[in-house]
Amino acid sequence: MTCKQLRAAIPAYLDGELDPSPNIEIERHLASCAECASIAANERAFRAAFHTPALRFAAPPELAGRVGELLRSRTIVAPAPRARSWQWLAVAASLVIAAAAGSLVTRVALAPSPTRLLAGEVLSGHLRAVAGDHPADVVSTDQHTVKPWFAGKVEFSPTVTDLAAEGFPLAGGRLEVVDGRRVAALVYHRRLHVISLYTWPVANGDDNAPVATTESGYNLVRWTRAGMGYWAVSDLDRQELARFAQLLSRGR
Amino acid sequence: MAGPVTGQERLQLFESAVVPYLDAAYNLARWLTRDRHDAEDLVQESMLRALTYFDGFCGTDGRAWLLAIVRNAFYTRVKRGRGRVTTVPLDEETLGDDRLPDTETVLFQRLEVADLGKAIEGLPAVFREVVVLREIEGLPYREIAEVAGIPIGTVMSRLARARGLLKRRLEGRGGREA
Repeated sequence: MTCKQLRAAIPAYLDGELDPSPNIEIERHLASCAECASIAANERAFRAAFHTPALRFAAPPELAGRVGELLRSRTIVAPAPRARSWQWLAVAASLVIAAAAGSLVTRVALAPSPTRLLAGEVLSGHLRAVAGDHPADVVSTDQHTVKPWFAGKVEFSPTVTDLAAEGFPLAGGRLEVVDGRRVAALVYHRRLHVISLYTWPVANGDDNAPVATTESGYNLVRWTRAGMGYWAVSDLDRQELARFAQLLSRGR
Repeated sequence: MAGPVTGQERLQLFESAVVPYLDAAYNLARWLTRDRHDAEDLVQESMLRALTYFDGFCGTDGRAWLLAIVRNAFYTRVKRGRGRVTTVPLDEETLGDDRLPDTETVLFQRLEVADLGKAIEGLPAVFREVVVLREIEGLPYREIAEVAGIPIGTVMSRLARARGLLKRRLEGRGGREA
């Protein structure tokens, strides 16, 4: 091996990218040629200069946290068994409203977990019901049939409103478990779309106007009224679902 | 914008195959963008992209796969004018002669980290990325080729040029021919 050949091979050699056999030749040459050996030593020192933690930027801990949140928020999580209070929802909802007032779109996307977890539970329940082709346990367009059906199944009496005149006919109801408690889910139709309306009593009695979010391509709207929390979820477009929420949150 | 419907299991797979390379992703993003906030943005965007396209990941090498996404996201931003990139005029002036010097040896034993960092930052992006992936991230040629979407031969020639440019800068010899 000539000195010229050797010097051309040094980078790959030092990068550990050569087969074992040329390595032996190179090492033999370096052992016998002082000039090449000094070039190789210098090259080695140059590379060693990179091997310091100062040149490798580690992800800031808060970035790791945000990425974790982001990933979970894009994933439908199975219902958590732990009980959570509606208080969280009220706080989160007001945060979202405050954020929506500005242009803090990213903050909303990164909003912390309690609301996101609830959204995930509500959406998974809706998807299970729709995918199982069994959106309602009690199938009826009559609010006077649907409302009493919940008696003894949940610890409250849900308000059941028929919105057939507005184009959202009632289709029935089913029992769901959200946040570790049994809640009422009412089923409405809009053309071929199914809307699930979840409702349960909230600890905080303040009314909150509807807040819309999107989760995995589904639209969700939540609000509180007269001591009850509501979540509407559907693949219906955002504006129509918002209209649905408005009709209910205003009360009739 | 919302991702596709994903499941708990998929998230767990993603967390074990891709998330461990968050530091590597951030390091590359940081060297490419040369800005802390831009790097954080780029990594968040890349992780979301990665989650979205996770079904297309064949499961062999999460690191190269994720780094390729970071790199592509960076160049997409540059094209949209949201990032800066040093253009690379591929003429002899830039490329120069970056072979190892034949007779003289410049000693790098006492290289200051700050000087080295500045010199890396001053490299055009296509050279900066190969040097960062090789010298700081420790990737083999094969993985660098995968990340940058270039043949291994191109990895080697870009590395040689990158190292040559770095040495010249560190020697304070500007563009003078060796």
